[in-house]
Amino acid sequence: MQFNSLVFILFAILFFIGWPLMRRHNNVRWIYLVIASFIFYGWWDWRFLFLIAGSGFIDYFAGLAMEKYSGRRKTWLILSIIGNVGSLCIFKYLNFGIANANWILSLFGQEMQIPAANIILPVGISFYTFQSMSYTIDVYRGQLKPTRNVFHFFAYLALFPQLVAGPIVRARDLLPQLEEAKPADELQRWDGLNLIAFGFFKKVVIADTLARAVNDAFGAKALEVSCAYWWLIMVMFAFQIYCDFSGYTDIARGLGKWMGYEFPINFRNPYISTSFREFWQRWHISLSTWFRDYVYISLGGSRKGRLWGHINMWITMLISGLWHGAAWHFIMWAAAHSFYLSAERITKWPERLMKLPGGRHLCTLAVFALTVIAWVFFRAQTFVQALSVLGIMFNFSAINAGVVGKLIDNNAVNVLLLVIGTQLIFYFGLDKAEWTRSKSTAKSIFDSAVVAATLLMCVYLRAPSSTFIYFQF
Amino acid sequence: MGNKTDKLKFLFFDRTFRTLVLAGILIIIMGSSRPDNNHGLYPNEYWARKAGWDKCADIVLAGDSRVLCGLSPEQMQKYFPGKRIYNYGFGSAWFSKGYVDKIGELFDPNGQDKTIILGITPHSLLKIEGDTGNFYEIRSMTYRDRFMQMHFAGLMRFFDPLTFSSAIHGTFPSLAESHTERTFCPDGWIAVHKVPDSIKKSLRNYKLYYEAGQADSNNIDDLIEDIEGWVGRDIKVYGFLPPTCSEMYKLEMEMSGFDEKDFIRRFEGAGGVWIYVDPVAYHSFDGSHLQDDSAIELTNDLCKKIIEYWAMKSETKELQ
Repeated sequence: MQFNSLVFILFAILFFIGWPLMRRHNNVRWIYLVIASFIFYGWWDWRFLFLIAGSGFIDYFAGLAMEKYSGRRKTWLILSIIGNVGSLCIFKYLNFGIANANWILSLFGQEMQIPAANIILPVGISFYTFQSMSYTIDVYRGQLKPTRNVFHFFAYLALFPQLVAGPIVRARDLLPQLEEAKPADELQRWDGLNLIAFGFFKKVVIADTLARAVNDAFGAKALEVSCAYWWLIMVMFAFQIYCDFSGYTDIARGLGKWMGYEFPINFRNPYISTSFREFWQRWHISLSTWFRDYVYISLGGSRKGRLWGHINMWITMLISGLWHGAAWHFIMWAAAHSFYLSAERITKWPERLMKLPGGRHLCTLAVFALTVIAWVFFRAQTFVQALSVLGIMFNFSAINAGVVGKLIDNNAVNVLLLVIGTQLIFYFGLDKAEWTRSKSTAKSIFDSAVVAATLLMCVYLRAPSSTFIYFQF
Repeated sequence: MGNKTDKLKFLFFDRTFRTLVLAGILIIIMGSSRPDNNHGLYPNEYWARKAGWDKCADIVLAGDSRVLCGLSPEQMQKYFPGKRIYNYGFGSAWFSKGYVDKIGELFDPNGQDKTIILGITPHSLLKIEGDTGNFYEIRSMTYRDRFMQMHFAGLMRFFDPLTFSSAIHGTFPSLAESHTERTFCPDGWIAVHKVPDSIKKSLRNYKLYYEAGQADSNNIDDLIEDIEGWVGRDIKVYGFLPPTCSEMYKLEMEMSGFDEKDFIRRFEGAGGVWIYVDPVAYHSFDGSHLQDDSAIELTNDLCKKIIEYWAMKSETKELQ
């Protein structure tokens, strides 16, 4: 079930009514979490439950086997990785592989085509597979003691707030938290409410409103030939995907806080970054650190020299692109970011630019513009469409401001201005102003009014609902 | 006692609890005093009911939004008492196979004097690919959604989203450039009252439609064939050109590729009866659709002309 649905709101109300009673004893708490999480996940399609259960059992038993047969730890780790990556390959990448094999066959004049497999992509498979793998890798590295309780393990793996779209929480961070049953304190409840209210606002008011304009642009039979229009659309998409995804993780973190658990921050205003290195420290942090710790460092990182550092970074980024989706345009998006990162490491352009007057603003603008260009590959339906859109964006003779007027007619531009304004507050550090830290009664009442008004807007200014973008991953 | 005071303190000083209560109060105030309320049925309930009509009618009024807003079945009943009349017009409707088939299914098989009144606009004859328009949107509604909209319409309406502009204009009417009142009638008519008139936008849009496409001869052939089919099944078919403003009429006759005379000839040839109504004698608020009082006038005039037609026909029979 989706967070932005009536059925989820009813589900959450029932869950939190039962939570104070159920959380007191370990087994009861874990069973309650597993049942609730399985209902949450099975609501999409009950058959998905077999997959998450299968994936979970592989890692649960692999963890136990590593402890018992410590001489064969590597074998158990390999078996676990094969099981997890294998299920990802079958459910997510099989048809991509078949399509590419068919294309190669056609290059050699073969008319025979391999039929596509009739497989549905389970929601959030990439998230929970990675979360599950982090468990066995941490056990293998000796950073975590495996749990013997299967409900404890599944409460970690399937915990519903962050199950389908993150943040990806490491076993070593969450399993110990699940062993405790502290009620949420006043601060956690308040922070949780803030995260939930603003998370919903980001999703249902901002992202869904922007989505309409973006979907119309990419779904049109013939692309509008206006460079100004496409730049505006792509800036909208940049904020749509940010608000969609960070909104989801905010809601997940808020729900976690209400349960008394802490999930890591996943986004720190990435569009105010002054370099790509910083961008990746602010964007989808849980995935970036997962890839850094389990892929980049496992490949050797930059220990073997600068060249190998670049090569390992490219490999890690390209795998990350493929993680997002089984299509070439996702790989191209990752390649664009790899190129940005390599160029940045070699030329150190942000550091040089920062020394100039207004350098910080120039760096932020440059990083944002280049990120927007890379998003074209991410959003386009095909690689060819991405190239067409980029062609229009850089055809500065085709400004055609009249087409832009079509966008101004709808709410998308108002919403875009609102979200850019909010980003500027963070950029200029106004969120850290002294009055924001005041503990006065007036400030407390003001905060309540703002959050209540935000919830009101989530109900009445929401755009037609759409699924969270990151569910497809 | 102390315990009770602590609880009261909690209720007042706990930020989370206080905020949720405040949000609840705001939502209740906003939901119960929505600035964009309409009259008649709730909009979604109206569409859900319309989607569920089946084997219930004696007279069906069909066509695009000019029929939807232009003909009142309730008013028509004054001329045809006892008849079950439904306005089956839809926004952006065109005479696709799905729509035409559904019109035929609306009749009660045991009813008598089955009648279809078709409002033929040039726009409804454009070449349109795929199943588009309000009719298909409504038909794609899931059973669960339809059930919710029909049986929990008030609750669903309570939580229905607003647009920025409707929220602001509804709360501060003086800021709005125009005021629109809609009445969603259970018989299918949407009565619209909008002040002041503003026709420029429609003229601009329709110009674009006709620059992009023309009234399609295949669509016309299919419709004529459907009319022959209905007439063959003993259904009386009347047609008329829904009136609009003079500027729109001129634009449509010049740009749409619709040959009115030729169409009427073929319509009558197929066994239909063409009713002439003055195309520009009524009041359109937006350059396309009729104001509610004008829609009543049109309904009256159309009914009188149908009755006149039958009076004339029976006189002719007597003379023969």
